[in-house]
Amino acid sequence: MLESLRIKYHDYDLKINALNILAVIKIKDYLKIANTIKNNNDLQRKRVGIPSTVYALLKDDLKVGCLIPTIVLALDSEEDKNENFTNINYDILTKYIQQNAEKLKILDGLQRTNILIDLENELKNTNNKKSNQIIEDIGLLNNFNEREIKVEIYLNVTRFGILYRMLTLNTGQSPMSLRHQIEILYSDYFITERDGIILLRDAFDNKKTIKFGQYKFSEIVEGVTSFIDGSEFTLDRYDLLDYVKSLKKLSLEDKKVDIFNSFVSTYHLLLKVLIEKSNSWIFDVTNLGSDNLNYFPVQRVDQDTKKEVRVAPFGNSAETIFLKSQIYTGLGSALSYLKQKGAISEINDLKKIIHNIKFESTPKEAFDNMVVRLEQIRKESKKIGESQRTFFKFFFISLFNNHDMDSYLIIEKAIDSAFRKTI
Amino acid sequence: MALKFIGSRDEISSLNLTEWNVKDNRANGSLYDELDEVFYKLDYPLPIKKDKEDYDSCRIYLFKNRFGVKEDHCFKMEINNKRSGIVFPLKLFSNADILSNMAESKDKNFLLSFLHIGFYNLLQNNKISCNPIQKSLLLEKGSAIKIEDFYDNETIVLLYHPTNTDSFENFEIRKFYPSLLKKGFVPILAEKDFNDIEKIEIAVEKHPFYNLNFYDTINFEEVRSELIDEKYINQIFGTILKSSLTPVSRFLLLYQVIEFLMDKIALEHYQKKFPFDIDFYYLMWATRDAKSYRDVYDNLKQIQNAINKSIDPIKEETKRISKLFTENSKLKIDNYSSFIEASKKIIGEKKCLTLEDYVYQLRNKIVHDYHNLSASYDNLDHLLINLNIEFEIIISDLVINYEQYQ
Repeated sequence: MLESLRIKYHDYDLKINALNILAVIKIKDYLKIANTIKNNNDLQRKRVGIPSTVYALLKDDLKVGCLIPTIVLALDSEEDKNENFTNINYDILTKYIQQNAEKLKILDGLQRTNILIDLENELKNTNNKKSNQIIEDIGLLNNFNEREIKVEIYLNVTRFGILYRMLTLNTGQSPMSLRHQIEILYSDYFITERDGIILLRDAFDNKKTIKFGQYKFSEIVEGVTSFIDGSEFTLDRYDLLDYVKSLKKLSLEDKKVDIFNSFVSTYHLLLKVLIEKSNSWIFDVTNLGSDNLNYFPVQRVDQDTKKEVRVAPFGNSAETIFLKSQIYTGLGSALSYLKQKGAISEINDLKKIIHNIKFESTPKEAFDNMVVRLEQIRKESKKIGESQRTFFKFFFISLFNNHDMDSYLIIEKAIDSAFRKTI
Repeated sequence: MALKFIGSRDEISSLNLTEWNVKDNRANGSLYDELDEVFYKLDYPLPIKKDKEDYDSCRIYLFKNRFGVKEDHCFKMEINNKRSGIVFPLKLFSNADILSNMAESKDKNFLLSFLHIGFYNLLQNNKISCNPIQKSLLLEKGSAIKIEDFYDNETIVLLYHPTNTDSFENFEIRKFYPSLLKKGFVPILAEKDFNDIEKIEIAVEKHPFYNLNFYDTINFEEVRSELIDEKYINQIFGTILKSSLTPVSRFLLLYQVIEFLMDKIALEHYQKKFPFDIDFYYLMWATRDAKSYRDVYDNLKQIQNAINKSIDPIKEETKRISKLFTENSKLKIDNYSSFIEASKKIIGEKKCLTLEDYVYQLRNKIVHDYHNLSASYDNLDHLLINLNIEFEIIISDLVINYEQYQ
C-alpha cells in the first residue's frame, strides 16, 4: 500500500505532541486507502451534501489536472503506544505509514476525497458511453491516477489530540458538532469485545440488548461530550459560541490521556460495582409505604390476571437504572465538575474510589428511595429528561466529591443531596 | 406541503420523501433535496411492531400545548367516548426510554403502530405545516437529522384513527378546537405558529395533565351545533387565542363570544316570535281604514303588544346571558369552582347566585372600571391571566354545548 508515498518535510506539533509529515502520493495509491478507510468506517462514509453544480465543476477541473489543497490524515497511537519518532528517518517513517495505511483517518478533506472517488468511478464506468468516450476516459483516468496530491500525516497522536486538531482544522468551515467529531473519531472503538465491553452501533442492533458490558455507542459519545462540555444536557443545535467554548475546554485537557477509553472503562466499573453492591435489589411497588405509593398510581387492572397495573418506575434494578441514557450525560458532566474542582485529576482517578461506595442503610432502602425520588422528579419537573440528567449529575458529584464529606461515597446522602438540588 | 429547508440565500426549498424502507423491525426514509440533488437519510428511532402498516388509516394534525409539553404527555384519545387514536409529543421519538418502561401488551402494540404511522405521515407531510430547517444545520447534522428538526421540540401530534362507525369525511378537527383548548392545545396551522404561539407559565400542579400518567385516556368533545362555522368562533379558536395578548384584551376577546351568542339567541328568539305575519298585515290594514278612534287605539295596542312580545324576554342583557348559560348551553356552576375563586379575587365577595352573574359582574367591572382595578391591584395582570385560563374553559363549554333555542 502507498508505494508512491514520498516524504518531503517533517515537523512537530508541540500542542498535541505529535510528529507531522508532509508527503506526496499518487492519486491511485491514495484512492486505494481512501476506499478502505471509508468502507471500514460508517461515519466517515457519511456524505455532506454538496451543490451539484459546484460538485460537477470540481470534477471537471480535476479531469484537466487542477490542484487541490493538502489532505490531512492521522495515525493514532493506540495500536502501537511505544512507537516514538525522535530519530527521524524518512525511509523508516515511510515504511511505518505503508504498514499502517489501513488505519489512517481523514482529519480534513473528506469531501475532496469523495469527489476523487466519484471521478475515478465515473471515468472507469463504461456503461452508456460511446467507444470514443471510453477511450478518452481511459486516457484521462491514467493521467488522473498518475498525478500526485499532497498529504499531511500526523503520527503517534492520541485520539484526543486528533479531535483537537480536527476541530481547529475545520475552523472557517461550517462547524461540525463536537458530538459528531467524537463519533467519527471513535467509531471503530469496541466494535469487537475489549476488556469485557462491546459498543452497539444501533439501538435496535439485531437482537443485541443493552446490558452490563454492552452499551450504546451513541450514549457513550453523549457522556464524553458532556464531560468535555461540562453540561448534562444534550446539545441539539450547534452554534459558533459552543464551538469556541468546546475548543477552549479541549485545549486545557491533557492530550496524552484518551478520555473516551477512560470514560467507557470507568463507567463499566461503576456499573459493575453498583450492580454488585445492590445485592440483587428489585423494585417492588407493593413494598412501598402509602406516601410513596401515591407516586405510582394504578393505571388499569389487567383483564387476565386481575392485578393492578401501576405506573412504571424509572428502573427496577440497579442494572436497568444505571443503563439509562440519562446516566451517561449525568456522569460526564459530574466528572467535568469534579475535575474542575480538583476532586479528581483525570477520569481514571474515579476507579480508585468506586469500590468504596457504601450504604448507610440497606441497598433496598437506598434504591427504593432513589426510584421514588425519580418518580417525584418526573411528576414535578417541566422537562423530565433534563431533570433526570441533572439529578444524576448531582448524584455523582455528591457521591465522589471528597470536598463534601457529608455525602462522599454514601449512596443515600448522595440521593438526598441530588434530589434537593434538582427540584 | 413537503418538509422544507431555508437555503443560504434565505430561499425556501422542499425535501421530498422519495424512499421509505421497513425491514426487520427497523425503518428509514430518504429525503431528497431537488435543488441541490442531495439525499438525506432519516432513521425511524423507535421499535417497530409490524413491518406493514396502513399509512392511510390515520390522519395527523399538529398542536402545541400553551402550558408546555413533557416527554410523557402521550395519551390515548377518545372522541365522544369512543377510542379514536392518540395524542403524542414529537419529542417522544427521542425518548425511547419512556416506551421501554411500558409492559408488553396489546395497548403497547397499538401505540407502536400509531407512532410508526404518525412518523411516516410527518415525513410525507401532505397537509400539515412544517417549520423549515436551516440548510447549514441540515448539512451539519447529515444523517443525524431528526424529525423534530423539521417541526419543533414543543410540537404535539394528534393522530386520528376513525372507529368502525366513523369516517374521515365526517371528521372535522375544527369542531374539536374548543375541547382541545380546555386542555391547553392550540392548533399549528401555519409556519409562523411554530414561533408565535404563546406559552403560558403555570405551576406544574396546575397543568391539565398533572394527574394523568403516560398513556392514560383523554376525551375530546365535538361542538354540537354548527357554531364553529361562524367566522368569529372559528377565528377565536383557530387563531386569536393562541397569540400573545395582554390579559385584558384576552378577556374582552373571550367575552365577545358571549356577545356574539347573546345576539344570536336574541335574533333566534325574535325570528321565532316574528310578529309580522299575515294577521299583522290585516291588522295594520284594518287600523288604516278604521272609522273610530276606539278601533284605532285597540288595534294599535294589539300591534304594540305583538312587537313587544317578540323581544320582551330578551330585551335586557341579563336575560339574554341567562338564557345562554341555562337554556342554550346548560352550564352548571358546580363545575367551575376555580373560575368562581379567580373571579372573587377581582370583583370581591359580591352577591352572585349563578355562573352568569359572576361572568356579567366581571364583564362590568373590567369594561367599566378597569382604570380603578388597575390602580387598586399591583398584580392585576397576574390575576387576569389566572382568570382567563378558567374563563377560556367556560367559553369553550358554552360553544361545545350550545344548542339552538327550541
